[in-house]
Amino acid sequence: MAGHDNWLRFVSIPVAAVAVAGQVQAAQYLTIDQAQKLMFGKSATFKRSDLKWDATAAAAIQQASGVRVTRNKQPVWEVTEGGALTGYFIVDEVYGKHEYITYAVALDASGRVRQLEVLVYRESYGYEIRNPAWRAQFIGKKHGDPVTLEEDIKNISGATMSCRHISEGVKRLLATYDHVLRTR
Amino acid sequence: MCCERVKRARPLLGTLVEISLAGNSESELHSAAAAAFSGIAQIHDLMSLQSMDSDVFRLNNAPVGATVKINPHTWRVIELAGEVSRLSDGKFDIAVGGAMLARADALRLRNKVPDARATFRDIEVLDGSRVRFRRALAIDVGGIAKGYAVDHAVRILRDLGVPAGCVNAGGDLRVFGGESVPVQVRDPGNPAVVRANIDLLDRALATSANYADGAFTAAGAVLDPGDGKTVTPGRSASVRAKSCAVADALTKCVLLLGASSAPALRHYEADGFLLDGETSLVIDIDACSGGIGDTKQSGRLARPALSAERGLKGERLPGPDLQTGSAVA
Repeated sequence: MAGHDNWLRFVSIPVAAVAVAGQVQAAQYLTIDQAQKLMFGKSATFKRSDLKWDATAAAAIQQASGVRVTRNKQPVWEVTEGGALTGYFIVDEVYGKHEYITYAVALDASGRVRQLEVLVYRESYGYEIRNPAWRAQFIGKKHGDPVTLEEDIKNISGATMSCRHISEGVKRLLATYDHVLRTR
Repeated sequence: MCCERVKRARPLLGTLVEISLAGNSESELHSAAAAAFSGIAQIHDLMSLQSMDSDVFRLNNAPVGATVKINPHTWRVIELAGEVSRLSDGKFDIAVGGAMLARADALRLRNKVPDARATFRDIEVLDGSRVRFRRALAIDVGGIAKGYAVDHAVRILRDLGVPAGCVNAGGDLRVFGGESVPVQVRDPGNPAVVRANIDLLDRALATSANYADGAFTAAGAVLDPGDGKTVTPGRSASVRAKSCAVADALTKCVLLLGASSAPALRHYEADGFLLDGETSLVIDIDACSGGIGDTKQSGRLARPALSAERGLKGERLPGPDLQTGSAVA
């Protein structure tokens, strides 16, 4: 009977119990390479072709999406198959009070969202995720790099993380496509 | 059984849905995960309050007394919700009426004012995947659909031959295939602190709360259908059951009924616990099946253990009564 097994232990420990105070819990789901192959197939070719924009474009993106634009560039890959453009692969980051999410969006050649995959989820109650210096420590990290993150976030029940920030991020990316990428 | 592991996450159901799988072929696991995500998206689309194409929208905007044919998934959710409502004497209720009307503006109703007297008893679940409302009412299946979506994803993964895995929709999760998965439950008053460690094996676990920390506010606060008031912040209920839909729905019963939710949990062979700032109340099968006490004392009360070594099991302490009424203010 379910009640007899020893399934439940009450404790009182910090979420990142193994790590030093303030350290991060993180879950890595897919590398950029894995996400590209899953989203566009193994025969697709990816050419890195980052977007950059000026203050006028930033204001236009913000106006069109209703989401604050705090950067002036975006990692983008042009995707081709047999020489024909099949879409775009875009990597983006969003953050809330305690969580910081890197995700990839696949757009088809006409700018419609084909797929979205979360690449990395990080959560911290020690550092200020809104602090750019804190986030900068993760920039450029790839799969296999020595990372200071505690490997593998535990499954946590309770205190649901909202994905509102990802929805806002996608709105911003679609407006970015419209104002900068489509017309490139 | 397994050499390959795959872990994917997508934003669905208003939260982050994570699928972890183990099996023989990485590419097959990725395809299975994609199929499971699509299944979850389908449940979301059927039961969304907002989408005008959803079953829930069509039902909520149908004339009173009209028989509406809906997708079998939606039908099953409404049927199961009715069962939990009867077992909890209406503490769990997908019908929005009475004291819940304060929430009605989120339902996007056109030309329909819910009857204040409407409850789950006014929802007729008919053969042939049909449903009829006897009064002007609207439903909100937010308290059970997330769990159902997890069950649906597990069904898809098993049908595709995935040997073992875990589907976690923002804390409502289900483990299948004989591999136990560790799960932590946060302190409802402080999400930086873990209050319970659980080893989940071939079971689902769901947690509901009105968290004190606004950063992690659940999409829908839990309201008491009796008075329409929000459950006290800083209190959470977790339920372990075979199905995640059942676990999801029962968390609301535990939040609102405390130890009096034991008969409903027993019906589904489920167990669970309530956490607040200082106390933990365990409601389990033993406690209500006569082994430990009668149903009047079906909840076991304990102080939170100070460390992992000092577990709760077997520790029954005298303490304030956490029965209905005092359990949830």
